[in-house]
Amino acid sequence: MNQPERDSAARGPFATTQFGQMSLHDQPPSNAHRLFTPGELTATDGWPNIPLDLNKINPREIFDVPRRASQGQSRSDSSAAFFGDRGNAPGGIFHDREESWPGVKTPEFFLDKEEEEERLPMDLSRLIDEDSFNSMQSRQDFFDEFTKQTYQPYQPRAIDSADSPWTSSSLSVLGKDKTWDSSSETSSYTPLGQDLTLRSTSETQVPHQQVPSSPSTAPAGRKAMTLEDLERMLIPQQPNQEEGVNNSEERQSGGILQGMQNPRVGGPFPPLVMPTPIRHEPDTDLRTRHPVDPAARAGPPGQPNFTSLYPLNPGQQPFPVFPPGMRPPQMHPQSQQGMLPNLMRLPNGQLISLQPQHHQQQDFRRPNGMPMQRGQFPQQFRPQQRPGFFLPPHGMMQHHQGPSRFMQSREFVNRQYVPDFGGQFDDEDECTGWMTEREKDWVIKIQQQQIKTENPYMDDYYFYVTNLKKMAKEGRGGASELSELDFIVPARMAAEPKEERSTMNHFEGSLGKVCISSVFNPRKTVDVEAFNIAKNRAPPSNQKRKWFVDPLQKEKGFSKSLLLSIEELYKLILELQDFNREVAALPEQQREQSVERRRNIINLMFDKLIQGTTPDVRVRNFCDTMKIRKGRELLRRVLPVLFKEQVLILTGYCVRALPILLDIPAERMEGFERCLIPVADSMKSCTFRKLVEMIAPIVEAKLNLLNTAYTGQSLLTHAVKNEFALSFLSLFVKRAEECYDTEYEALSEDDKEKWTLFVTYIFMSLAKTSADDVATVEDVGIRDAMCSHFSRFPFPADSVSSCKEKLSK
Amino acid sequence: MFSMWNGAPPGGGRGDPRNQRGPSQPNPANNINLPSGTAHLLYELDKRLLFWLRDGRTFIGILKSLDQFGNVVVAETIERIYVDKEYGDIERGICILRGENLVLVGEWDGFREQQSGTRSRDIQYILTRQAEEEEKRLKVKEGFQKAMRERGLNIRDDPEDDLFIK
Repeated sequence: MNQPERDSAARGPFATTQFGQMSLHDQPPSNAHRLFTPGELTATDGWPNIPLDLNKINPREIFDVPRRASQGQSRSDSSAAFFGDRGNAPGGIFHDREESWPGVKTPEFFLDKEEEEERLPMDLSRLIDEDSFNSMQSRQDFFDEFTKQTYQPYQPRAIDSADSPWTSSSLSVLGKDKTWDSSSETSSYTPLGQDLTLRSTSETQVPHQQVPSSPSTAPAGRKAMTLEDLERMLIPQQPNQEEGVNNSEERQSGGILQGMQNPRVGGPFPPLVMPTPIRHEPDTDLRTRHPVDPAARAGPPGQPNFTSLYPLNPGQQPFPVFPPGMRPPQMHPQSQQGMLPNLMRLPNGQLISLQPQHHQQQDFRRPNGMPMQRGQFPQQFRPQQRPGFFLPPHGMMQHHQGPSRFMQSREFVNRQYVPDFGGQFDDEDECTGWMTEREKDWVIKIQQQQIKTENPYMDDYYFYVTNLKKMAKEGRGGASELSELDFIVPARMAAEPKEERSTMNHFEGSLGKVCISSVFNPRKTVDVEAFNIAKNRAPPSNQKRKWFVDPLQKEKGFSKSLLLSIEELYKLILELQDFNREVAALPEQQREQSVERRRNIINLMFDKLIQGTTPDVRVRNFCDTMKIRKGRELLRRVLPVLFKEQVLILTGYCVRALPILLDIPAERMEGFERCLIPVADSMKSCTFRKLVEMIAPIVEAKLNLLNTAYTGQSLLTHAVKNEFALSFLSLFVKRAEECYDTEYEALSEDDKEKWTLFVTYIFMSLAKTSADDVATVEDVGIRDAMCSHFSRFPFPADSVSSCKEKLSK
Repeated sequence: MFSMWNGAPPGGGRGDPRNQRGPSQPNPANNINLPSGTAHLLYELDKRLLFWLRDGRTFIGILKSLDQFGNVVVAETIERIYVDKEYGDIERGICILRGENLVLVGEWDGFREQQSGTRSRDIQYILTRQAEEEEKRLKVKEGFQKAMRERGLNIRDDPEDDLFIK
């Protein structure tokens, strides 16, 4: 795709671009009235002559281009009507561009040199006001004006001469309201589109629709308002602005009717200067000279007859010229098969073609030579939407039974399989219909098939589970609990071997082989190898998980091993989870056998959690795990599963690790209350003695705490400020309170002493700390238990009550 | 020089209005439902997008069509070459970009381009400048390699670059 060639040989109006030959000039070609002779065609002469069967249309009328005032050429009535009286007035809206916008040049490679003087004028000077330019509104206005002045939707305009086949009311053979069925409502579809492409502008463009005033508010008065008037006069305006794609969707699949009714969706379409893109031989004389009967030279059905009518000279490009890659507008499929009438005979005997005529304007270039900015256009400036052109079903002359029947008919349904360009390649249609619905479905199908899996529970866990939960929620009206049954089937599938995927080399109709990449074998674009430091120092094979760690690498290796051990624990948890689900699926009698297995798993988990040869090492390991967030998460999941004895052991470890746990910032300790629930449960059957044993590290002289910087007292002073620690310790107190009556007396003196010391520490800490610093104990029961327990001891009563106050919020 | 590519679209610079879509996007294909919460290039049809290619080029155009390999058909394409804070455009018309070579696809907003302070320049100028910059870069690289060789080190080209063709 090269840059547009600059055809320096081009003279006059012709400018060669990559999309064919268009002209941007508003001057008629100098050879306008020269008789056409084949031999005289040069490379730059674009269009073959179109004989006068195109109803004597003066090309200048079709692509109405404002003339300079100086030229003083006669303008047709229609153009006068089009532009109003202002059209030619000097000082009208169109004056010399150079004046209005000094120093502005369009990019060189968009224009021929000769055209530099010939730009279509744009008057935007009044809008480019430095002060206000940056405001949103003025930018909007600027944009409005700019697009108004530079863009104009194609409006085929025939001279309103009676003998024009396009404008004759004989087309009302279709019915007064232009429907096939005269009995149908006016609001039903119009087969040939609202404007039929065949009627003159003035008739077509002011249909029976609302023409709301333009929303844009142009600042400066006179000129802008007149533009508005013109718009309102000529162009139907739709207040609703839809998304472009939605439009195309609708139009393609269901919104044919709507599209038909609203040929121009979106706001005001200002009457703009239309460039003259198509410079077919503007030889009116020739047209007059060769009235050709299209029927006599019918080409292949469904195609425009132009090739036969307008014989090409060698080297000429056929009209219309399509840029490479674009195909001619698709005709109605049925018509292509010859089922639909291409031509219609009018009452006056003339044959007209029913195919959409593309009086071409591929205005890929702005009149001033700037590139098309279709994408930049706001919705409201979308030019006329050419509704999907379709013809009524075969047998159009038959009585039609209303729109609904048609909507179910094959043609209508099949429309989604055919991109319908409506015969036009103007702005709107070019944006739509490149991909049919069927093609979109096809792509999606292929991609979905590639990720299809028999076992989503294993392959795509998170998505699958989320979906299940969502469905369960919706299905049961908000019940958040998912039964185990939902997961049973996939869990069982986990045990099944993976099936062989069907080997399919290629899709039909496409090139290349299928890339079979699965979840297990994704297509690698980047090969990443985990760079493992510790790998270099692989441990001897008899040592399972103790990394042989180089002292230099101690830090890295250590944390890595810690993380890895946490991962292993997670694996065990998941295994347990799946196992549970499996078991739930089994009938009752088989469940006992799995109990053994379950117990094994749990024990294994516990062992891994508390690893170490000596209790100290074990505690330290446990603490390390607690330091890591994932470890805490792990604990949260493990605690409900562990046996009570095991929980108690862990609780004891927690006490010893309290200094460490205190250091964890509060925001990372979220969710700890869930940990405490199983702890509390396990303590329910705890003896007083056991309690004492557990809190012993705090109070013993040996200070068996992990961090000996703390003394028992100081530890508790800090503990009361920490929500987790306080809750944790309060569990002890609560339990003690519960079993005090029964068991306290049975304690040995030693134990009693320890316990008293413990409670005293707590009490003192609470008393000393101000109310703000003391953490909150949520549970009222616990608070009460604590205070009543305090009152058993010889503490001052008022202090006890103040403690209670402090404990609450 | 005013170019519509940098025009300020109404709507306050939230991007090409055609690129806007609501939170619940319409299904690109009516008959098949994509899994919820997925993004798909089909949602981006008929939007003006920006494409990065593996060789570092930047294309901007309207996405028209795609296939299962990620090949895309782009209309009204321009190739935009950046040099420092300036860029130049080359019109490419309608292109097919092979999916294998696409690195990044994103919505393109002319307004933001304008806001970013980059200036549009004549393409010839940009191409010359690009060539100059490339020369400079090669020179520097050459000097570096020479210096290394003088010191007895032989460093080959960075192997990570073989993902990119250039």
